[in-house]
Amino acid sequence: MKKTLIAASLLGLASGSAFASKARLTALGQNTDDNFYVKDSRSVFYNAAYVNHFANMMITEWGADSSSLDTSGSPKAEGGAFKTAGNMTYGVYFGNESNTGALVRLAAESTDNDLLKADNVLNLFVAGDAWNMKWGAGFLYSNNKEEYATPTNDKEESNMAVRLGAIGSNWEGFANVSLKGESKTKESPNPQEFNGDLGLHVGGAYLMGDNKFVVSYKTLSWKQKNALHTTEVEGSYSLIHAGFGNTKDLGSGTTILTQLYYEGTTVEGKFTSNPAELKHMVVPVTVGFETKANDWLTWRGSVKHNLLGTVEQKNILRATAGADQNVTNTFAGTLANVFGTDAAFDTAGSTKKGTLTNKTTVAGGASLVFGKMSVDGSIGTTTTGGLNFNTLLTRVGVNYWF
Amino acid sequence: MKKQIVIATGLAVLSTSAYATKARMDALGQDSDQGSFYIQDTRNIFRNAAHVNTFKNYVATEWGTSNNDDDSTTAPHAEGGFFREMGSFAYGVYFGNEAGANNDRRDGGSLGYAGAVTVGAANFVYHDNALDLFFGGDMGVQWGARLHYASNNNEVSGSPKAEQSALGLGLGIVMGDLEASANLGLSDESKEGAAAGAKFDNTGMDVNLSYGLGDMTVFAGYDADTIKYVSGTGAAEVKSERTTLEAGVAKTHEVSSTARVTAALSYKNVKSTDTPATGTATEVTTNQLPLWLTYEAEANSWLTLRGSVGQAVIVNTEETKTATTDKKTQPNQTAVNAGATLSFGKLKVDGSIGTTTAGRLNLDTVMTRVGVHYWF
Repeated sequence: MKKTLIAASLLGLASGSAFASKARLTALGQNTDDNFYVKDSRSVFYNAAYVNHFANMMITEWGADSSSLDTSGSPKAEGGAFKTAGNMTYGVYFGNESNTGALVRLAAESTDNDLLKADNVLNLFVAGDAWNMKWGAGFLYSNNKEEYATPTNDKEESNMAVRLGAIGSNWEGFANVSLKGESKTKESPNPQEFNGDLGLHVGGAYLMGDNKFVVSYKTLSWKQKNALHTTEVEGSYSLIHAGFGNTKDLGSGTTILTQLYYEGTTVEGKFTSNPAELKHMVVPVTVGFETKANDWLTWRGSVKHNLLGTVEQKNILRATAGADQNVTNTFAGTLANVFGTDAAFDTAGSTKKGTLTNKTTVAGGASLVFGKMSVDGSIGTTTTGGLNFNTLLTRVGVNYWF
Repeated sequence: MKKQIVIATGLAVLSTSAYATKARMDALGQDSDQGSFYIQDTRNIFRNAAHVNTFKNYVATEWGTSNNDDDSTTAPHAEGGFFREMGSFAYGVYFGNEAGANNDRRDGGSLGYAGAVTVGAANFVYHDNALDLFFGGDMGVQWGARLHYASNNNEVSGSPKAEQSALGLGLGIVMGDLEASANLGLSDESKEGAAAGAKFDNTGMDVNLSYGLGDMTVFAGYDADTIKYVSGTGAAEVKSERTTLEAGVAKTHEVSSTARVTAALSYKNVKSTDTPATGTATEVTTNQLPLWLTYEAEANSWLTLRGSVGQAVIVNTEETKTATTDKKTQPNQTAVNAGATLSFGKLKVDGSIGTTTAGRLNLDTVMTRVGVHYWF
């Protein structure tokens, strides 16, 4: 019983008053897709069993309806709801578009924005309680196309994935499998293709007191063709994560969290000449807090610092644009944004390695709480170092527990 | 029976301190012109005039500009009116409702519904200074009628007299759980001004049906609009048509007397056809299965928050047919809306929030599309 209680407290605030948004995770220095150490409704996307913890709530993330990547500065609209019916909890969620999926499709383009990215994504969830554990399953689906009278201009994309997860008294495990990920354009003179092979994200966690130990492995491979490389090229993405987090409940609605993990990412493009490779490795330490200032206001913040951080690129962006160039400038720029702008990318060359620079980051956020409703947002993002009342909250998420 | 009492109580609470603005409808993912099939709001009187019996004794104002552009969330139009009961009858007067007026399409060079033919010309007089008169009664069955009227002209010496006139009629009933209504645009013409014999003819009609089944509502609506444009005497007519068919079901969960969540799934087909004077017509047809999730709750005694998220699921196509046919999925169909009401007793200020910059809560523009209503 004690372990269960400890595990429950480690996993976050009580679900009845829990917060649930990308802004919250960003403020706590977490990844909005794989938030292993902080319980949040976003957790359902890496471990579907968390649907049990977020029953009877609606989530809306404010943002634009656009085709660009979701970022804190330009968030995309998404949201959904989870509802209990009998012994099960069901959920539907719109618009959660993986930035990883968009990134690897960008890699396959020879011309910017020619390949359709995952759009109008639908996630369905079901979860329940059995065999002394909570289980959950999810299904992801998207299918978009453009068919023209001249079929040579046709485009299509489709995605299908299955999520499985389980949470025990002091452990959790998950497996998310990408069954299909394709995007093709026949548009002359640059037909392009991205054909994803089986993708897998597996992992688990063990709870020991206030500590949570996590391991996770994500891998995706694909085949691509474009005007720069008309012969099929294999590409791959892999991410290994191992670490631990400590969450201390200090009482009075205050929680302190600390994390330390290793995360190594490798992106490869097996081009016939000049095979490209990106290796990114970080060991960040994060210290964060979340505290109820009063009945209607919760503050949170974090500081994150890389103890180690390197990025190495080989042939991502060669010196001469055109036939000799492996990827578009947009992809190279996106890689720089995702993995850190660094000297490794600034200078086009065959191989470059360097330390990730300027990696001490501070984030802040707040929740305005109105009974069963909370308005979460990031703060201090519009003017660095400033608290701006003109734009009080960015990346706003509104949650309602019913 | 118990469920009906609870729902009726919820609706009654909402109607006595009810909400009543385009901003609320926008925030809940509904049609801001004609209101909702399944969410009570005073905008519903424009879909079913019988609701003049449901919502009475209030004044409503929608903040906005006075110009010739169509009303939109980012550039709303000024409009408003008052509604009062009179024994078992109710009546109302509303100014400035230009829904369906197609004023943007009267502008020079403007295109029809399918975006393929020109249907507007310079100097057409706009459908402006509109007046809607409502009258209804409740004799067991609620009934209502709406008369829409507008008349404007512009006489410039040496030029043909440019004029515009419009007449519309709305009829509706509410009989227990059944609601039925029809709205007819009997006439809406702008004549001359652009050139002798130039004419912009804008007509439309819609019929609506809904039936309550406990906490569920089944609904269907059909809307047909036609624009006919003649550029001058002897010129051939250009036509633009649009039909909208929507049918669906909504389920409302009354969380409490002051909070509710709703899920609605519908099938929506919109067909726009532009027929030029000569040549091939262009037809654009969209088919969607939108799923909307909405919430609305009183956060405290002075603040109500609402929001919605919706997306077309499974079915989401757009087909453009000219001499050839192109077909595609409509992109970026995930939409999130939010709004709030500030309540000061019987005075309420509604608005949309988070619309100025996507994803942000701006305090310099706290609310947009503001509507203020007072219940007496």
